[in-house]
Amino acid sequence: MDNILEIKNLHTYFYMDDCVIKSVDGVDIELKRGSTLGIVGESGSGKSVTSLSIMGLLIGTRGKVAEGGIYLDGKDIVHISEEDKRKLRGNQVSMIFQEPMTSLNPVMTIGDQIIEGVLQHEQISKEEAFNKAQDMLRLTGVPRVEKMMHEYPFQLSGGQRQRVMIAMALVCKPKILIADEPTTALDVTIQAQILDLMNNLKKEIGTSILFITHDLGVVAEVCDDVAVMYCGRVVEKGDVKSIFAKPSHPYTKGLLASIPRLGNRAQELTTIPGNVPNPKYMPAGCKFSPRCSFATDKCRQQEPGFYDLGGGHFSKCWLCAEKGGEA
Amino acid sequence: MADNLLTVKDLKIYYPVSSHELFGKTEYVKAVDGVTFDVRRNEVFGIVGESGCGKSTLGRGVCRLEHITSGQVVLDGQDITHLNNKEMQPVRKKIQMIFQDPYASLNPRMSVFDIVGEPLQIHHLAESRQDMKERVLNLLRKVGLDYYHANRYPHEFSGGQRQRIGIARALAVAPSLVIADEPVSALDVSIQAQVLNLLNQLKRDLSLTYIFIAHDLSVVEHISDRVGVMYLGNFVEVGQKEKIYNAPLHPYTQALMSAVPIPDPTAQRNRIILKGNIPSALNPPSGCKFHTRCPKCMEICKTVEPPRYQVDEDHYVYCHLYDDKVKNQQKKTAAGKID
Repeated sequence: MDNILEIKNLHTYFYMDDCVIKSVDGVDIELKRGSTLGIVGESGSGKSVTSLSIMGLLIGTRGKVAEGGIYLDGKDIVHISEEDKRKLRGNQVSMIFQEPMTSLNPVMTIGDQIIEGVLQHEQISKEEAFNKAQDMLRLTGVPRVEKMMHEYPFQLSGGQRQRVMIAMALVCKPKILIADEPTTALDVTIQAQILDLMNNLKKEIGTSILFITHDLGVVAEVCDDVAVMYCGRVVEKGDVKSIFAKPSHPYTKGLLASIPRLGNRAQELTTIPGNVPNPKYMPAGCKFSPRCSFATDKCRQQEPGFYDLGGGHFSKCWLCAEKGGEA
Repeated sequence: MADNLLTVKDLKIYYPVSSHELFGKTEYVKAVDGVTFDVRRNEVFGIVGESGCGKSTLGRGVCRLEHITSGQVVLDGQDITHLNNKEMQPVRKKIQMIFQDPYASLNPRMSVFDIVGEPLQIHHLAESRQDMKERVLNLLRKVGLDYYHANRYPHEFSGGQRQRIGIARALAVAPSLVIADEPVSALDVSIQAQVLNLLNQLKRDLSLTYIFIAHDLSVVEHISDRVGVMYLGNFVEVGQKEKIYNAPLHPYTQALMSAVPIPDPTAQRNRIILKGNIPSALNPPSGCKFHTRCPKCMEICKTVEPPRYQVDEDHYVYCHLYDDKVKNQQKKTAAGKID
């Protein structure tokens, strides 16, 4: 078994008073053991809801996994009791959230926040847990570790808080780390530090990482495989080199063309016209067809399947259906 | 250099912070600490830097939205540093801002028509209601919105569309200088490209001048003609875009450029990873403010603030490494090693 996590045909719906919002509508993703998978998409593409579904963190919302399954090491983790889910969270699957400013508890010391998870999952004394937490925090490369264990989040900078989040997530040596935009709120020089740290810890602890981001530059630097999401679907997936070298879905192509790159001084940026559709009024057929310059009548009526382009590269586009190659 | 639209000389903006003791000395956060630059007509001057470096305060100071501690701001030959509110009123027609957060910078209770029309009303630019209507619809068309958008409210729009409304509002009074403070950082990649193209096109059509403030180096490179790199309230390097991006000279600029993720998995990376965090502006390091994180720090950097060295035509750097004396000394030691 070389997939540590498999998501099969996942549908996560939010049941509102007047409608059903299909945030995730048929997602298939595999995370290989010891690798990093990047999930790329714009806001509203369903990438965060996918990660919340894996964590089982939809309780308290109107969201529910309506169909499909999520398998950790071959075991279903959707249809299990809340008790069992709690045993997984923080222990086998853990998560780093986007906003290091708001996702730490402001009235708990750094030490107590890291220890909390350890005591929940392991039968060890508070003292041992404290030492374990301290060692983990030291691994993340923050200064004055001993002092910081007794400090509060407001006393730390953004980069330091994100390191604390990483220490919290990794202290139980989870099998999977879900990083939801872990560097978006940080400056580039700090981002470089954090990406470097995550890469090192991945090797050291052997955690597989699900890296959720909208920044294609970051994906190119840290990921082994990529899944591109649009409107609750994976539209293209494959290993990072073939996605960047031979993007086949018009959305991926547009996305790659629309980023300004250092050194490229073209006057005009290529753009994708229009906006992401409102989830209440999804277009029929291929969800990207209203913004796609290659769209045909078939695209507007029928949703394409997932076509194999060889080498583990898949694309959800009619253009790839017949050729099975680059459109 | 006759064609400078804006000249800023030794601008300082300090925020007082009351000390913890009663009758204690008031301390100052030196958000902008002696910045000098000029902006030429019809160019885009980009300001880059990390959070807390004072780039937004500088932008706000230039249009007098912050109290200026000392220094001088000259717009179009007119010193606007000490004008009072009433005297500023006509100046505000020449200088407008586009703000970062398109969700917070539009009044949710005003329709798009009222938002874009308000500057026209304040400056008495519309002759009649009909004239006003025509002008507003014209502005909306310029930024890529339609006439039927005019009666809607901000919550009905997406982020990119809201930013377009903000741009239309800034352009309503036909300003000569537009200060754009992180105008695309809250937007998705595909929408970001749309707004950048729009800004470029408006600049050409209306012969505008921009000060473009952003933390994203590739965005700044794309849109700017000249660039200033800020660190802790000062510029560290100012010059033509090509010079700064092709051959950055200041160690901070070099580290910043190398930290930008490259969207190409096969690219070679020579990353300079800076240690530590940006020091607090309340208690900045002595000498060169970057010396605590600088990989090339020398003794002199710890005590003496580096002056501005001109290294090339239109390329300035604030770093002791480019002092002739230091350069000669380095050559000598290098030669010594070879012997």
